Amino acid sequence: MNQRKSVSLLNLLALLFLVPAVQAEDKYFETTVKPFLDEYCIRCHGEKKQKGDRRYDMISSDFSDRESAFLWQDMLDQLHLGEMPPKKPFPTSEKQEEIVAWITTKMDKIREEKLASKTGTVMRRLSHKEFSNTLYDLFEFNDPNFLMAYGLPEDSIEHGFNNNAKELKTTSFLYEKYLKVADKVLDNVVLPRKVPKPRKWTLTPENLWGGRDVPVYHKDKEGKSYADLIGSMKMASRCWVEKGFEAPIEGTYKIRIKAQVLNRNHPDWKLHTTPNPKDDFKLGVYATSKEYGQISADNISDYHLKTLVIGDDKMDYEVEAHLKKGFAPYMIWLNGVKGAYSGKITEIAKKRFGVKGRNEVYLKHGRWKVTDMYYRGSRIRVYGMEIEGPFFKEWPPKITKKAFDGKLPEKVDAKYLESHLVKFASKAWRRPVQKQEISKIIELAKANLKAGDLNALKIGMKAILVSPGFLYHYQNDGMLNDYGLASRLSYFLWGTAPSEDLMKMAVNGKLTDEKSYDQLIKTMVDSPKTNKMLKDFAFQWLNFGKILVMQPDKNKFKSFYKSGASKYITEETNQFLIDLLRNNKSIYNCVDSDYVMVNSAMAKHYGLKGFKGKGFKALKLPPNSIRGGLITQASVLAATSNGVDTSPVTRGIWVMENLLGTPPPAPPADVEPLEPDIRGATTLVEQLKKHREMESCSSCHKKIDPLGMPLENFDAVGKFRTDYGGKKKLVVEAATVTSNGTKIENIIQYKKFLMENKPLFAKCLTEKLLSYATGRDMTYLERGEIDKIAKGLETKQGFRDLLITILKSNTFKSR
Amino acid sequence: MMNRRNFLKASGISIALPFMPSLAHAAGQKTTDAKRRMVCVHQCLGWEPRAFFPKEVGKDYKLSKTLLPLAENKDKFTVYSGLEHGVTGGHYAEHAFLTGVHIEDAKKYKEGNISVDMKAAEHVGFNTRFSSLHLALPGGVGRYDRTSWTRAGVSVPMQEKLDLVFSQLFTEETLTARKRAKKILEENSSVIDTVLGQSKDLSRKMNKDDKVKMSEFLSSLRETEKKIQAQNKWVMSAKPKVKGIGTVPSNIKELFPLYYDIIALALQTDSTRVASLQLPVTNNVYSDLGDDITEGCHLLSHHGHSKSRLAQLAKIEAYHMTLFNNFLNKLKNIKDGESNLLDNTIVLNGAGMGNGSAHSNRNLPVILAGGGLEHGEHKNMYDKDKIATPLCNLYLSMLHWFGVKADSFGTSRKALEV
Repeated sequence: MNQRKSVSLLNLLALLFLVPAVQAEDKYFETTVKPFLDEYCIRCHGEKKQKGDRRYDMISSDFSDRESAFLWQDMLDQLHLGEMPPKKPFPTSEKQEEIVAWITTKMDKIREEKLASKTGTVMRRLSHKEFSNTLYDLFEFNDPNFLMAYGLPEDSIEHGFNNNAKELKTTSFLYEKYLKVADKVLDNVVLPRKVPKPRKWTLTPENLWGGRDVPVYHKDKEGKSYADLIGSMKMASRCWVEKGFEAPIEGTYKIRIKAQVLNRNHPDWKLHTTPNPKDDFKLGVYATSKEYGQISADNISDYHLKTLVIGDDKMDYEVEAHLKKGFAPYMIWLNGVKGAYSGKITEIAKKRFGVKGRNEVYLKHGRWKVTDMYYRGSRIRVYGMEIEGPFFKEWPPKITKKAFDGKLPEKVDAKYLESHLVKFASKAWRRPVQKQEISKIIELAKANLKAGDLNALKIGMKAILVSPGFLYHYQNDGMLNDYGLASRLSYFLWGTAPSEDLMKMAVNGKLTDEKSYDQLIKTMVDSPKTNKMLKDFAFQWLNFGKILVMQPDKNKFKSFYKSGASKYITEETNQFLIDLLRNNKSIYNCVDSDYVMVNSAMAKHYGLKGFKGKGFKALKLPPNSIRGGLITQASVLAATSNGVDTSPVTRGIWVMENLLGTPPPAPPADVEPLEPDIRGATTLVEQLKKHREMESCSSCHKKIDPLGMPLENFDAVGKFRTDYGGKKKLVVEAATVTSNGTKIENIIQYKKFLMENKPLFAKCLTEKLLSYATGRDMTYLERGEIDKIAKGLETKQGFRDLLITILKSNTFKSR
Repeated sequence: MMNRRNFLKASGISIALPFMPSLAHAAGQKTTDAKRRMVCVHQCLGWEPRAFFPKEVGKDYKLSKTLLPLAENKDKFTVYSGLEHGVTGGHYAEHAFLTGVHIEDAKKYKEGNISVDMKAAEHVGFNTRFSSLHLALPGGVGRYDRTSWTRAGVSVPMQEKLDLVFSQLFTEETLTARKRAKKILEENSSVIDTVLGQSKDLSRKMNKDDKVKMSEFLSSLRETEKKIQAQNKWVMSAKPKVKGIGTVPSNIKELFPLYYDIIALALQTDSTRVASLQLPVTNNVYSDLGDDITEGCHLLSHHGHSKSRLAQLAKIEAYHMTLFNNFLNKLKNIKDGESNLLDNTIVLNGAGMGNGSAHSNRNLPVILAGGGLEHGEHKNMYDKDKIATPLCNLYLSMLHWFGVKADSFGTSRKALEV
């Protein structure tokens, strides 16, 4: 960094005592600060030009004005960075330090004033992940797909973390879903007192396929229908329940399928990829529900019930199946004919039946009919299905018992309603709830008693589940109380509502007791449950969503996919961070490290030798390695590419935003973006130079481009390269000069340069973690504490230490 | 009595209404306007501009490469150049295509960033089972519901699961199921009432910042209540009977046409009068269109002038345009009142991105078809100083055509002559 303008802390502290008295402040601004601005800032940030969208000629010395405070903080940062002014004339360092001290004092004072009255995180909706987890924990449902919360519109956030309170909107589309979800959940919890009686359903092939072409569906001479399963393709070859049955309630059902294998030894099996007659003919039985998409193809609700081996004799096969409410079984011949509905069959049609072209049969009869007409080989024939149920091991089921303390009363009356709803609300809303708070809900439930007591109970519970108490985080004003802390801790570290244990601690005031709080946060951080949070945090912080938008090109990067590395790139980063946390390693390993966390696929991808064994492990790097740190990880390099090509601009911005915490302003609105040309007519360096020559682009791109150039040595999947490949083999020019004149020849020097700026990284990481933990953007108000935490990272560098410090910070512990 | 055409003229709104028999009735005779529909197709990635915009202006223009698949309908559509919204941000500004207003500026407008389709949907209200229909071709990435927006600044979820859409529109529930649905609707109505009442009490004690969030919550409840009323009106009535769609295919050549088919069916059966289709930002490789397609759509839009990428892009765009042409034909062949469905449907196709490769949001590609309007022209909307016209001017005209009485829409200055 350029030493000329940066201000040593010692000098700064010394100067703090020299600042004129408060009364003279305005005068000081007029006589000293304003002239400084006029001389060094206004030429680029005044009436005529507003570079970087900043204007300082109208700035007020009243820091309580939000806008001004923001501008002053920004100026302070720039002066500290030594970035401004970029050109002569430069102020003397004494002069500059004087100004810095003045701004700092004013800033500290206003911060103190404002912090006392700030709101903190505004009313914060549960994100979808939090909502699903909370709901499932509340009733102790167990289903990795969270089907009951299926179909919620995603949380739509373009920038920053997706748990940002301001950005998380509630809409009528979402609210309609909340109502639906609540209904579905309660339908599974509030069940009739008596055990439902079992009954029987008889399903003919008409029920099973609705008479469609697939599977091949016929009637025999006596008019009895049957269906032949031929293909193995999941979509076209399955046999599902079109009508006549769906499980009326979750329970055990006996499914009897009448079936047999026909034409087992037909010689055609050699022509198709059909099972050898000697093989077992396997019929897979699954469950699915219409609610989650078409049942004629895979949908998210599918689950496996049993695989049957079908023999040559016609007989019943019984499957005892656990079916959820609304679900029905379907079948697939798992090792059936491959290509039964495509090329293979047309070939046979040609060979055996003299059919001329693919189109002749396809167009005439439709794709599916072809198989029926020309396929003669082995098949599984299904004659029908019988379902009997539901049966129960216990009644009411566990979930219901749990929700109503073992048993529902014989009669739900007004008194029970009142006490149960208050209790339920306290649990669902993650805090003690007083009766009068939900008096309207209790009234509603009571009013419905006449139409059925269980129904009344259900309506009351539904209203609780669609109230702000459930849908929004609990956070009290000012310093968080026990329940506020319990929620904030639990949602941040574990992504869900506080556990029963944690709530018990809250009841006993243990979270506001410093000693037990400190003990608690260590236990929570050290729980493996925190890994999920790290993964989610990394995904958002490092922009991994971009990798999904622009996946690395499958043709250009064949070996990347073939070697399996493609599956592990984000996992490498997750493992890297988990290792940092679990072993309390220095956070600066994110900037540069002398090891990598790799598995064998990633080691091979990076061309690193000496990796042995399975899973992810730390591998020591040779001295002066190009690897080490986040920016040389394939995940980050892919996230900053467009799947094929790389751009120093994108990567430069990424480094500024995510490592240095100094995001550049958006490009001015009146500048048309550059249109890239990858034909190689001009080199990248030439293109960027042209860009920087344009007045409106230069002030920012002077800073951005050099921070991306040294990464040009890495392609879109993070492999090292010295040329751009293709016919022209243009040589990569990674050397660059930063905006303050530091020369960087290559990636190794670049990492050194970033290391010299590690205080910026410390601040950036602290800020990102706090934003994610509190659900809001950090502002100048929190800067005092963030700077303090970052300062502490100069000596105590461990990632676990940082997390603990953050959990103890006022920013985290207050609303 | 003044007929509609004259009425509009007299009120100073310059909009050419189609000559329809119903409008020619003698004064004093009761005239019933045909039901008017609106369809908006949003190509999020934009149309490659060099291939899209025709060289010549006026009636005698030659179809550009991208427009070639529309040849048989040349007199049924108008292509525009020189229309834009004046917003920037590349992909982050696509969402303004049907609104004209960037989400961040929404507060400055009295109707926020409501989109033209939603404005039309408000006009229809409960008169159809669905006030609007919002579909998206599958494969969109990340948060990509960015076509239709409510006046509250909320993006309307676009549906991509065709079978679910189809069953919402056309699958008749059993009487028991309908009765149960009605019961739940009524129950929900009272639950919302209760939660509203309780939350309002809460709101009184809140600080300024929280109040903003609370009012967002309350208004989504009120909005839901309105929807419930609409659903309640329709829940017991029979749905139109149409032929099923069978298994939803996975090959995009079979799959994508179904989206247009369902829209046509929905309009034809008057299940809705407003529909939007989003062709999302996807990076799927459309190899179903041919083995020569080897790269993802999003990537191809950033072609960097590479010949091979441009060729692939052209093929994909031609495919989309062919589907659009088939859709126009389909509407044309459906009889509607005394005319056909295309004459009673105003169809927009375009993008919020003028040049995907450069992430430019200028000079947006726009096609306006149908509505019984006079078409067959390439209209250049740049003035002599090369200043573009607000695309919202066109939207305002579309709304007027639709029957919405509005003085302005989004960033419009005045209605365009269409």
